[in-house]
Amino acid sequence: MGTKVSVKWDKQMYRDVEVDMSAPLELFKTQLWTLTGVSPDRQTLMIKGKKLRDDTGWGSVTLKPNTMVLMMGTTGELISEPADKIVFAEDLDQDDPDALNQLVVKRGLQNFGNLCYVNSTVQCLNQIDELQPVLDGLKSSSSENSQPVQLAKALSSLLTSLDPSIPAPASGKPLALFNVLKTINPVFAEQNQMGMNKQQDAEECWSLILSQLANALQNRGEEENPVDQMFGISMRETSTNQESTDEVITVTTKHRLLRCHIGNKTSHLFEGLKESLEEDIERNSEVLGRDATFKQTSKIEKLPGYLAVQMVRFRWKAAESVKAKILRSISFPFTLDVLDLCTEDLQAKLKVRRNEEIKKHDEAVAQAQSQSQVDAVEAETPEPKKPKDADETMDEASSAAAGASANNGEATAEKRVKIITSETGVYELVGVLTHQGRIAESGHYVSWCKDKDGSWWQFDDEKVYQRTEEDIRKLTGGGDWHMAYMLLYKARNSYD
Amino acid sequence: MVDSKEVEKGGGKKNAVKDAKKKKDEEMGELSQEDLEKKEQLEMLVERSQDPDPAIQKQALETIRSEIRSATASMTSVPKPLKFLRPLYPKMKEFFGTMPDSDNKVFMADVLSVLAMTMADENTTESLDFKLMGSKDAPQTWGHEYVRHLCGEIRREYAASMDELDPALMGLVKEIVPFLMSSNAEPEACDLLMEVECLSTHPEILADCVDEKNFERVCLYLTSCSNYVAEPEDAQILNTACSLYRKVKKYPQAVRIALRIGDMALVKSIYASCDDRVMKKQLAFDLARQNVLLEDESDAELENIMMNTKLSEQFLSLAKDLEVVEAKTPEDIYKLHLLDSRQPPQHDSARVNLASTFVNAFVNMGFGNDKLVLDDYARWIHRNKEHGMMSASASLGMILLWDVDGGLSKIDKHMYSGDDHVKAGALMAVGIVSAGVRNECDPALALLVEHVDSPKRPIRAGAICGLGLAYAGTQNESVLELLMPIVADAATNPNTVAFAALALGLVYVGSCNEEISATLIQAMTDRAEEGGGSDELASNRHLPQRLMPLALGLLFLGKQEKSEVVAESLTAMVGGTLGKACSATLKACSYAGTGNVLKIQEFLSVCGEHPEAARTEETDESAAKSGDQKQAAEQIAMEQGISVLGIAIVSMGEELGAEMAMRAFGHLLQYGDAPVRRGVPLAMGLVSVSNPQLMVVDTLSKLTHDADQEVAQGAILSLGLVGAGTNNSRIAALLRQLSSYYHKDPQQLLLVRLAQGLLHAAKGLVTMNPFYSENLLLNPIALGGLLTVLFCSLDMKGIILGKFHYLLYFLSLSSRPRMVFTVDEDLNPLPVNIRVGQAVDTVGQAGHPKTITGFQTHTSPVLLAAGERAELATEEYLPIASVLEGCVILKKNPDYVEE
Repeated sequence: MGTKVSVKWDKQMYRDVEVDMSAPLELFKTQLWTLTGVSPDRQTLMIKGKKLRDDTGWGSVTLKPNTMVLMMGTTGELISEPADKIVFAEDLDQDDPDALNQLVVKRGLQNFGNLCYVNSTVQCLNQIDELQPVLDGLKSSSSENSQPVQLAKALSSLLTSLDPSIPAPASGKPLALFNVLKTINPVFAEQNQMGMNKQQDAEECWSLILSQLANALQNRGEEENPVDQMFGISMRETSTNQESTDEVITVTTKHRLLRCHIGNKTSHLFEGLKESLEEDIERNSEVLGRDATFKQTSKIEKLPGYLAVQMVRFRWKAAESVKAKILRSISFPFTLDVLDLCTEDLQAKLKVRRNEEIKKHDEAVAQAQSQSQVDAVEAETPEPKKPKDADETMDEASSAAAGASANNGEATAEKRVKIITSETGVYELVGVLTHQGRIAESGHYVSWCKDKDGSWWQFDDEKVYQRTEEDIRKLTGGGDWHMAYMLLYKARNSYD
Repeated sequence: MVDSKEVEKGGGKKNAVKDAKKKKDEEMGELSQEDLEKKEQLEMLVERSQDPDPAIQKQALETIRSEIRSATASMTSVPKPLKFLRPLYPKMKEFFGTMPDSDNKVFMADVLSVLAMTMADENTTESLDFKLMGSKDAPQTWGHEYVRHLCGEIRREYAASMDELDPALMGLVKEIVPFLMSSNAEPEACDLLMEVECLSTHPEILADCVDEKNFERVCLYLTSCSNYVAEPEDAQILNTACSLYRKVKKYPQAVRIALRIGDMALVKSIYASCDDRVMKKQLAFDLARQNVLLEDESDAELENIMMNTKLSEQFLSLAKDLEVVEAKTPEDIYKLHLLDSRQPPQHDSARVNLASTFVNAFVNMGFGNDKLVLDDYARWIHRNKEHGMMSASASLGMILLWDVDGGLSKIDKHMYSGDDHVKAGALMAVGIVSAGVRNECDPALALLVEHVDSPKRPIRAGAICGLGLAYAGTQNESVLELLMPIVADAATNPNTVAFAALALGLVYVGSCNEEISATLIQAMTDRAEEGGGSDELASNRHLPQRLMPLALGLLFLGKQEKSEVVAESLTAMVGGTLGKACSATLKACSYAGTGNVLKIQEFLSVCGEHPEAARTEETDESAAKSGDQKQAAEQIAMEQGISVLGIAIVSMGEELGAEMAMRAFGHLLQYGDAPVRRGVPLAMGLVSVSNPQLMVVDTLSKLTHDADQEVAQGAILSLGLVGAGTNNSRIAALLRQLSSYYHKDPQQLLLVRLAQGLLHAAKGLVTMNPFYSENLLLNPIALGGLLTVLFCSLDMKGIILGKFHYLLYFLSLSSRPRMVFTVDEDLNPLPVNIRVGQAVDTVGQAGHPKTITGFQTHTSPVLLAAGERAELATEEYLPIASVLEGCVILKKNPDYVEE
């Protein structure tokens, strides 16, 4: 005989569910399975303060028409405990001051007065895996003591102190590096009335460090020095005389960063980059024998392993004699494709690699999909394996290009450090250096870096916070919050 | 009581000047020509009234009467005729004595009665005496002042005799009351009836003259009087008010009063007598607010309302309206960027994560979404440690609060967890979700029953707490059957017993259940001797020591002298520390919210003691002696701590009493011993919970830096309680400063975080004040939840900062949306304009005085802060509810004309 009951499950009501009290409870549960998709072993059924148990079945329950049955249960997998146990600060030996430091995942840098621009630059540079091995190589091989070498050594030891696997105080001290910087460029030694170091432009610091490193690493008999392998951009600049179009001058220039021009209408990084590569300049025209307006178009001839982009946010304001900041919000992508900015030759090259990668990717995906379908048929719990598989194959495929990690970098320090190169023209964002404040000489510089495991960290001098991608997206500017000033992109040669 | 004479005093400066001038004239003996004539005429009339000829007498008396009556019409100063007749009064009185009984004598008595009023000898009742000898004319014919004077003498007469009211007086009262009622002097009428104590013996006197127009003023006056009279009388006054409301069919108001009396039979009969369906719905809402469920098999809709099933839906709709649906993270609350703080920890600290768990739980309370624990992989739960995991998975219950149907399926996954603590937390979460709401399928009972006897302690604790939360105030018998054996079994782990006792106390709150109280006392007797044993036992003492007495107290919450029998058996059976604690708790709980001054004095005298033991503690001479002393010190410390809370418990809810308690706390802080001082911040937190008055906040803020760590801890938590659910920016700033001040002290920091969580509870949409409906009603389970947390906070180190922080979730019982939610007759949300402003006391004022001041107009649903009152901005709709709080049904005003 059948009774009709109402079943309530997660705010949904199933009315008039037919129940056969003479049949076992399981039948009813199976009925509900078809209704809700919750498997019988995960269903908990309740009537008026009583739980219906599998072993006792309907038991003493009497059902009236429209009795409410409450069902509890969920589809999907159950939660398993995380594999790795978290070690809590309270578990450690409270008397051992080093115990805490060993837990530290990331180290900050102490600020000895307005040195945040140095600190944030160093933290960003620390994103370059190859830098440390390269510097190590220099350290062991060179006994020279020129200023650039001094700087390289100071940077090297500073980067070492940031490695959390090496026991050290919780935050590094950038003083040695700063002292060298000061002697190289006296601008950095400027002090204010209070006797404090003046705040400086992080980009100047960045460029200075790179150029000095390039000097230090130059005479090592290699085809190109490592700094240029990392950052060097070759541009083909084509200048066309606007008054007499016959005159076209083509030169190749070298840069270590791209500038993103911020105009009145710029709202995305890519627009800014494009605008920067096209400008009108005044130069001497040989044809005309006088200065003339040239339209200069630049194209990238060679891409670096790491692409640094500067947002040209500071503009010299003569009236107030300060470097005033453009607060305009400029969005930037987590993945940057610079194909359009390259010369046609380079584009062709990149495209070849790209097609290969896309093909491989597609194959991997297809394989994974078919695999998962097989899994789904065979077992009920398909372990999502596909991303891993794809990763591995990718890694193998691009192993030649893949960045040498710090570890194997050390092993090959004596020889040559393999530096990542861009093969596809696609870059992923790994570091953001932000500025907060209205003018370059004041305010606060902070860096935001992406870890290898994909997590983001904010380095605010000695303070380190874990952040989310959401937080990074908020750095576009347009207000008084931290806004991106330098962006560091790392070449990505494979899809995932 | 309200002095209506105040009003008359403001006679104006002009009159005063005039009077002064007149006085001068009199002194000079210079009366104006007119006055002189009058005086002579009156003297002549008096002369004539004593004429032997009755006809002349009568003629004279009549003239005097008309003179007086015409003159008493103005009330600004003493009427001239009375003034001139005054000196002649003794003579007339003398003559009256010689008069033979006659009509004229009666007439004369009337005149003398009026004149006696001016003779103004406070202690005589001459006026009344003459009146009784005089004619039976209505007294008001002689003017208002005369009536008032008679009232005074009737009181005096009654007070002097203390017998049954004389029938003659009674007759007079029956005449006077209708007159007073009809002339806008309702308070005087009530006063008269109360003073001659015939309000409840002769209810018809008042009831006959109450109508649609004046019931509100009469009842309001009566209700507010009830606060100030002694025990049985207050209920009588309330009963009168209740029956008056019933007479005019204002059932919501009547139920409100019946709930105040706590008379469930009365509530039921009112509910049954209400025949208007819409009004019945409103009654159901009002009962739901008090967690009362009247079985009404015939009507599922009404029963559903009483089960509070709409609460979650309405709360979410309020949140949506106020645009606070977006979940908040603990970081949003901490606002670290506003602080120049030190390096925050970069690694997982169990305590920091625990703090975040609680902050997250309180802040997103009832919203059904958050950014930490409602995660498919339970990552956050596992970032807590042991008991922390229990608190973390129990916090699901807080986030899903009130939403039983939707909440259970989100908790479900954790019920299968392999980790005992996670599972225990999930069980507790099942209970928390159902806190204050009921479900016809009783899922909490169904799910928790099988775990109550689990061999694993955390699971057991979770299940028992869950039951206590889910069935608080329901007197559910299944719960009783389940938990009683646990309490009765002497072999059970003491902590488990404590949980079971607390759960029983909450489920049977205010029930005076003898079976439970006897079992509790027995359990305590069994365990009282065990005190001070091994370390294991000592560590298990914290919880029973606090919760067992509280459980007993809760059984008699607000039941006043009904607890006395138990109190006696308690002193006889349970000795030692526990016994002392029990007696104090029982006293505090049974007089909760009554403002009983005698009890407060008793508590104060306990707090005033300075036991020798405490002072000589440091100079222990012999081990045995110091052991004894230590125990004595512990005893008194325990008693004093509870006594301080007791002051708060008794005085809370009533404005004047609370204010006085606050002053008393100031003294205790200065002169009290350590245990007293430690209780004070918590007591202050209780008295003004969810009511951040400047003075309280300032005092607590000072105490947060106290040298005594425990005082500081209590003060920090209390700051949270005082601001609970208000988002008060001042407290927020104070707590932020504290978080950086205490950044190196993990325990204090945890408390600061907890306080921050409480302050922003439900993003500022709830109140934890157990008093509601303009502070008239006390929700017992809300107070129960609050007291649980406060009693535990008396032993911060052993309980809240120890392993039992999940007891903080008992605050879910106290939390209610502080909203006015308007619905139409079919219960669909109905946005209308509502004015919200500071409540004004209108008791005893004539006419329709403004009830709020400094108001702002919003569209409903709106929030109400402490001390605020709402009223509808237009008369387009009429509220059915008695007070605009909670869910209010509106109906169209048939007489409304759009302007």
